[in-house]
Amino acid sequence: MSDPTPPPMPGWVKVFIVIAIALFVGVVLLHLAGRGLHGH
Amino acid sequence: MLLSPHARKLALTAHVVASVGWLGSVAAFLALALTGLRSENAETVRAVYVSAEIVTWRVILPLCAAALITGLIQGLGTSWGLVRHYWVLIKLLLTIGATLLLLLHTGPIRVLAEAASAGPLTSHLDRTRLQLVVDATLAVGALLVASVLSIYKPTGLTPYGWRRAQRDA
Repeated sequence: MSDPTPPPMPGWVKVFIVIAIALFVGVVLLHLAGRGLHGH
Repeated sequence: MLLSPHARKLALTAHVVASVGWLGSVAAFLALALTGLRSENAETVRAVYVSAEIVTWRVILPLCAAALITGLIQGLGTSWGLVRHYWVLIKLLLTIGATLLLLLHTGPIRVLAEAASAGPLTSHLDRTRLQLVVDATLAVGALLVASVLSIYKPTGLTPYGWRRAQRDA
């Protein structure tokens, strides 16, 4: 009988997700700071 | 619907050419953005931002669209799928992210190109010039990661891919 539980997420995917979220937040903050500075 | 072996090879060739071309053109853009940020020569700065706008619209955007479309064809037309393997899913998300970043870029690039055409740039555009360098660096990084994923194809099935594999077994 096969195991009905999917395998856990690989470690490299977890590391990737953490780095991607950090970079995404950084870029959004940079864009917001730029817009605030230019007043548009 | 799965592609025939001949069509698959053709689609793969188109995808590799578009993706590598996209990476190279964004790297060229980064070189222009860095030169525009650091140069104190008004003529050089003007040439850089006018060139950057041309490169964006006539090289980077078409290659970006081609890479995305051929990537979707590759995923949907082969057994790899789009969301069955983590590496394919992450590559798709990276491509979509880089495309959004590029579209966000077009506004500041136009502002800089128009300002540079009108005369020497004033300091109120310094942050926009820096923003282009940061975003282009991130885009080069994201496209390099996508290239590495394509070659190494690290293992790992998504829950959906695992269920499909169980069903097809």
